This record gives sequence, structure tokens and C-alpha cells, in this order.
Amino acid sequence: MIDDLRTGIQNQDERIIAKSISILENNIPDLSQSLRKEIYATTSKTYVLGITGAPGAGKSTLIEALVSTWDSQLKIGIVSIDPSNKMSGGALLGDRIRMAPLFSKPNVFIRSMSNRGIFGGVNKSIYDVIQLFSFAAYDIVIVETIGVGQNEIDIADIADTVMVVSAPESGDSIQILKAGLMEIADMYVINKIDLAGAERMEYMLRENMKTQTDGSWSPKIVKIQANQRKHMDVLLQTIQEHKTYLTLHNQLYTRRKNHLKKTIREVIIDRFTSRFIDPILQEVSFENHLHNIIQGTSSFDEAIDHVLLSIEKDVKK
Amino acid sequence: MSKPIRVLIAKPGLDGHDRGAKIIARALKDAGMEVIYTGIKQTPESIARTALQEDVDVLGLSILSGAHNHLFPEIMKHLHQHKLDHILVIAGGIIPKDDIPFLKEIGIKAIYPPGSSLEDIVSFIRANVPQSTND
Repeated sequence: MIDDLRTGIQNQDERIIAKSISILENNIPDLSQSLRKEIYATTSKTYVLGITGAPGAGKSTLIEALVSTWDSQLKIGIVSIDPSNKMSGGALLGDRIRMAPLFSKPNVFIRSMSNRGIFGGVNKSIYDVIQLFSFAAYDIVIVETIGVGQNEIDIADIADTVMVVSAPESGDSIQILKAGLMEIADMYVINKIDLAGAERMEYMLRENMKTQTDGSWSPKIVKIQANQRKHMDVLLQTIQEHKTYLTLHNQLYTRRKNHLKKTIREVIIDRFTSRFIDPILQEVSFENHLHNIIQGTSSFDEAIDHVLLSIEKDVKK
Repeated sequence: MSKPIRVLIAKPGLDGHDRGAKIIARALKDAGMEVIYTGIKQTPESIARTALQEDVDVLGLSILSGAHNHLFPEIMKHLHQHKLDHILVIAGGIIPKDDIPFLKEIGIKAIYPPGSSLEDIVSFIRANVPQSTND
């Protein structure tokens, strides 16, 4: 089975890649572990572009325009992440609507993902999915997320280049500041520049942009109109500039080392939680602590100390 | 951890009315499924390739143009070519009763004309979704 998966992925067989993403996303026992062993045993040469911004800024339209402009010899994987419904766990994944012209392109693979909020976010599988595309020797992976503080992973932890997209009509540029997007953006894209307010938005961004004096990368602003494919050449050129900067300054290596560190940290926390913490929270003694807190006969800290002590005992064993 | 059912809602052909498709998409989402909606005017090949890349368990086709007897067999053919015969295919829209036997014969498991209940659709999917397609 794992041999079929490995060969299929390396042959860029879309059916196998799609199945493998599901295996990783659903953490299918044994198979997902063996698959991870395979895909992480390769050096990533894939360029990861992260695209974030408020809903309605035009991220999917931008991706469509960008990928259509890019060299059709390049293998491109697109992962679009939409939020899941907190109540039902279901999700409506509609990013493909704006990307319909890409469906017939043989070099493009699109996968829609829910952030699976109630299961603890998409953070565990997105790293794996990017690595899977690397293993399949894809040239580029584009990750699209809503960037308004609702996604649990920081796009900056996975992308080589972070692109923040906004549009004048989404008006409130303050949202970009609030969401902490100014700090992580390598480039800002103002989309829908035909609408009123584009100038003002650019001014606001320039005022709040961090300025670098030590020769490191200063974020760039690019103004486009994605649905008319206006200024896509400037956008491509800016992406290229950032890639060149990353390579020249050995940033690709540094960034990827940081990404790896975070990935490993996530996996350890995840496994540690299910192995050591969750079982203790199921115990009667912990239930009793909860009961006592509500009754006012025990404190919050006592319950925490109880759990920590139990973990220590288990770990020592 | 149970794996959510993944559904592709697709509109083949040239009609541009997707109110029904959107209502179904929302109902399935509320029932806890992951629903991919691709918009109007999809070709049989693009529907099959999307189903392939998204690794869906269920394909729901919505059609109001009357071209179902032509388009649905095409879609089934493309699914077969992509080795996607395990996918549960259902359809809804303006489909005359007389056409239903033919559509069932080509592998469409259920057909929902206007007025069908959302509960019925949800429970049909739950009862008939292919099991553990990842094994």
C-alpha cells in the first residue's frame, strides 16, 4: 500500500495525491505515519506562497489570475482553507468558484480544506500537505487562508512569501492592523484598484509599514485589478524579487528551519496531549476536582496541580 | 476521530440558476459535511477532475436545463475514466419522472425533483456513503 502511494505521488498521479491528502488530513492510523516518514525524507525545493486577507478581498480571483499568468510548465498546487462551522463541524468550501478557469489546466492541482475548527485546526495537516507536494516535485504551492484572526495557524509559519491582499471596498484597513498582518506581510496587494479608496488605502499602508534600515527585506505594495488581469506582471516580478532576496540572504534556509521547528513542536504537543493529558482528564479523580471547584471546596490551581503531578508520574513510568 | 463526509455540488451545462444547488450545499454543511461548490457551467471533465482532486465521497449534480440525459452519462463516463466509480452520485433539479429509470441505470443512485425534503437527502447520503475510502 505505502509503496503504491510513494510511487503514485512521485509520478504526480492526481488520484494518489488526492487520496494521500485525505489520509494525512484524517490522520488514518498507521498509513498516515508511514506516509509522513516517506514525504519528510526529502529536501523541499518547492516554493510556498501564502496568501491571506479578509473575505472578499479577492484572494481566489488573484490566485486564478496569477496561476494563469505563470508559466504553464510549472507544477502548481493550490490549497484553499475555509473555516468550518463551529456547530456542525461542516464547511462550505467555495474558493473554487473564482478559480474555474484553472480546472482544465493539467499543471494545476486544487484542494479545498476546512480548518476543521472543532478538531483543533488545520495546523497539523497543512504542513504535511505542503510536504506532500514537495515530495511530488511540485514547483509551487499556494496556500490561501482567511487572515482575520480566525485561522489558528500563522501563515507566516508555513510560507516562504506572505502576501496580504486587501481591497478598498473592504474599507476598514484598520482590520489589517488589528489582525497583526502588517508584521507578517512580505508584500501587500491592493486589489480592485478601480474602486474608490485605493489611494487612501495605499497611503494608510505606507504610513504603518515597517521600515528596514539593515538591508533586510522591506515589504512591497503592489496595486492590481485581478479580475481584469491588470498589473499581474508587476505582481509576478515582486514575487520573483522576494524569492531572489530569500535565496541571496540564505533566508529560505532560516525560514524553513523555523517552519520545521514549529511543525515538530505541533506534532509533539499533539501526541503528548493524546497520550498523557487526555487520559487524565477522563479519570474520576479529575471529575471530582471539577465537581469540587464548582462546589467551592477546591481551587482551579489544585486541579491543574493534580493533572501536572499525574503527568509527571506517567512520564517517569 | 470520524472523518467528515466530503461532497462536491456541481452544476453541469449551461443553465445559470444555482439557488437550489446553494440551498443543498448549505443544508449538507449544516449536517456536518464538507461541501465543495464550484459554481455554474461546469463541463463533465472538469466535474470529474474536481471530484478526483478533492477526493469526495459524494457528487451531487444540479440541473435545470433539461440536458441531463445527455450530460449525466458523459459525467459518469469521465468518473469511470478517473477510476471514481466508488463515488455516490445523486442529482436534483427539473428532471421528468420518465427520465428517472434511465438515469438510475447509468448509476445515479437517487434523484430529487423540486419539493424534495432536505432531511431525506441528508439521511440518504449518510446511509449510502461509501465506507472508508482511504483503506
